[in-house]
Amino acid sequence: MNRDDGIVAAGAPTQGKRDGTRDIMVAGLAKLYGAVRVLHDVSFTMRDGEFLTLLGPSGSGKTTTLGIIAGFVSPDRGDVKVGNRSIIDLQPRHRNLGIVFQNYALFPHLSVCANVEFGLRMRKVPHAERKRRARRMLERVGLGEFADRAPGQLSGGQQQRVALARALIIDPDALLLDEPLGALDRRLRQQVEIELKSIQRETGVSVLHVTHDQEEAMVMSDRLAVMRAGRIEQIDTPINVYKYPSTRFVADFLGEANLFDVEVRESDGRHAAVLYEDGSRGSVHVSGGSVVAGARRVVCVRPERIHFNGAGETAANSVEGTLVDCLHLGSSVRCIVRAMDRNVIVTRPDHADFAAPEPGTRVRLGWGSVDGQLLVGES
Amino acid sequence: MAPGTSRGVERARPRTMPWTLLLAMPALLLLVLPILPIVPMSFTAGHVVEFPPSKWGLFAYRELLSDPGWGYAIAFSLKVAGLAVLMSVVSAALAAFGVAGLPIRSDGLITAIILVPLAMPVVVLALGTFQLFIQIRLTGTLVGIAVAHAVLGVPYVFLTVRAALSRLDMALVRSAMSLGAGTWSVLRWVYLPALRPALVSGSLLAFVVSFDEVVIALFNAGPGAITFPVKLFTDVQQDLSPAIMAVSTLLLTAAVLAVVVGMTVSGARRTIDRLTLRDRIGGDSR
Repeated sequence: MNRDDGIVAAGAPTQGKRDGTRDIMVAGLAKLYGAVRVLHDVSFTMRDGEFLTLLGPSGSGKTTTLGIIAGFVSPDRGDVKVGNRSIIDLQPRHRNLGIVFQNYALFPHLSVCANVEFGLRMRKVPHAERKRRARRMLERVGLGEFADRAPGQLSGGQQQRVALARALIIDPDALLLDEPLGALDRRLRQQVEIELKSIQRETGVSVLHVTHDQEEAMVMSDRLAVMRAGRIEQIDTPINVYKYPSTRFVADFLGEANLFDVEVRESDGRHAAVLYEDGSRGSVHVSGGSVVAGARRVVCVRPERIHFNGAGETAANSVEGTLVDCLHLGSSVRCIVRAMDRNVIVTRPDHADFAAPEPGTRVRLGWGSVDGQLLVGES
Repeated sequence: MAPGTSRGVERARPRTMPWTLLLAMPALLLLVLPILPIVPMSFTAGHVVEFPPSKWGLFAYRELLSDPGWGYAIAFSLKVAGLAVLMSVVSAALAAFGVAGLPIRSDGLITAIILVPLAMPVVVLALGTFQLFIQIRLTGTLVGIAVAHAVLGVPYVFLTVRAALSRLDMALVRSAMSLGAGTWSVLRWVYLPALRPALVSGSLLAFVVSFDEVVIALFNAGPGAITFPVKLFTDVQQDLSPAIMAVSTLLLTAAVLAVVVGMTVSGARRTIDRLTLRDRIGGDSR
C-alpha cells in the first residue's frame, strides 16, 4: 500500500465549507468481547462542525464506539464513513482523525512544540514550515510561551491544550475526545469546557466527545447520544433529551427525575390522558412515539416542574402527599414529599414568597400537561 | 503527569538507624577486605607474590606489559561481551514485544522458558554448548562463546524491557498512529525513547554477565579464544605471577571509577531534575 494514501494534505483550509464531505456516518456497529456484547447496533451521523457527545455510564460502549471510529478496535459488523468514503478498512494513521486522550498522552521526551509538530513531521512537512505552524497553533490555544518546555513541566489544563493543538494541526476531519476532562478538578473542568467549546467554534472542527459526566455533556454538546449497554437510547439536543427523555434510563441518567407508573387512557400522539396509581387522572406530553390506550407506561416529571398547590388551585396533574422535609440549597429549596409510596423530589427557587410547608403536613403537588413526559421507549 | 504530584518534592526519608549500620559493617568488611591486599601486593619489586611486599616496585606492571596475552584476552573478552550483548538485546527485546502481545495464559509459559538460563547451573549449559559446538565446529571461536553468553544475557534484557513495556502508556502509541505514524515511526518516536533506559541497563547487565563468565568460556576455549577470566584462572593455576595482581588492581580501579562516574552523573541528573521542578512550580504560580 502506498505509504501516503489516505493522508490528506495537512492544513488545507477547509473551514467554512460545509458540503457534507466531512460528515461522519456510523452504521450498525456491533462488537463482541469474548462472550460480552459491548455494542449491539450503534448508528448515528455526525454532521460537519457538530459537537456530538456520547454520554453513558462505564460499560455502555461509548469508548468502544470511539475506538472503532479511530481505528483501534475492529467491529464485528458495521461501517464508518467520512463523507461517502468508508474508512473502516483504513489503518488509524490513514484516517485523518485527531484524538485527545484522558491522560493527554503527550510524548514525554519531546518538547511541547515538537509534540504539536508530530503530525506534520509524519506528513513530511519541511522543518521550517512545521515549526511555524506549530507555534501558530500553540498561540491559538494560548500556550505560545511554553513551546520549548517539556510536557511534564505544564499543568494538567495546559497539557490538555497541547494535546488539543497536536490533534488540530493535522486539520482532522473530526476530533475525537476520550473523556478529555476526566483528570481535571471541578473548577478547572468548567473553565476548560468553555475554552474547548470556543476553540471548536473558532476552528469549525467536528467533535465527537465521550464522557460519563452529564454536566459536561449538557454544557458543550450540540447534540448528545445517551448510551446504555451497547445501544444508543436517545440522540437529540441536550435540552430535548432533558425535557423529553424517551426512556426511564435517560430520564434518570440526565438530571433528576420523578418517575410515576401510569396507565394510558388515550393518546393523540402529542398528549396523553393518564391514570396515576392513586386513581387520580392527569394529562401529560408525548413525543417521538405512539402509545395505545390501556398500556402501562412511566411518566417523568423534573423536580423543578412540580409546584405546591394551594387551596383552590388546580393543575392538569395533581397528587396528594405528606411532606417529609425541605432542604435549603442556597438558591433553591429541595423538598421531599411522600406520595404514592415513593419519595417525590420538588425543587423550588428560594423566592421570598415561597414558604416551605412544615414537615408532616399534607400537601398537594401539581404540574401542567407540558411538564410531565410520557416515556415511550419502554414499558 | 498529573498536576500536583509530589514527585521530586522532598520526601521524608526513613532515618538510617545506627545499629543497622553496625550490623552491616562486618558483612561489608568481609566482602571488601579480601580484595584490598591485592593492591599493595601488585606493587612488588620481586618475583614472589607476598603481603606486604618486602620490596616495593613496578615489576608486576612491567611483566604485565611484556606478556601480550593479557591484552589479547581483554580484547577478546570485550569482543565476546559486545557480540553477546548485541545478540541478547535483539532477541530479548523482540521476545518482550512478542510476549506483550500474547493472551495472558500463554505469556506465562513462554516467559518461564525465556527465564530458564537464570535457574540452570552454568556448568550444565557449558557442557551442553561444548558438545553442540564440537559438532558444528564452534568451539574455540568468538561466535561460539558469544552465543552461549547471549543465552545467559537474554533473561536480564528480557525482564528489564518487559517491565518498561508494561509501564508504557498505550495511548502514546495510539496518539502517534492517529497522527500518521507507521510501524517504524511508532518504534522510533514512542517505543525507543520509552525503552531506552531499560535497553541500557539490560545491556549493562548482559555485558557484565558475559565479561565475568568463566565456566562456558573455559569449556569452549581454544587457541586464540581465551577470555580474560579464563586467562586469569589458568595463569593462577600455573604459577602465581605478580602480573595477576597488577591486572586485578587495574580492573578494580576501572570498576571503582565506573561506579564513581555513574553516581556523579546520576547525582547531577537528580540536581537538574530538582532545578527544573523549581522552574515548573514557578511557571504554575504565574
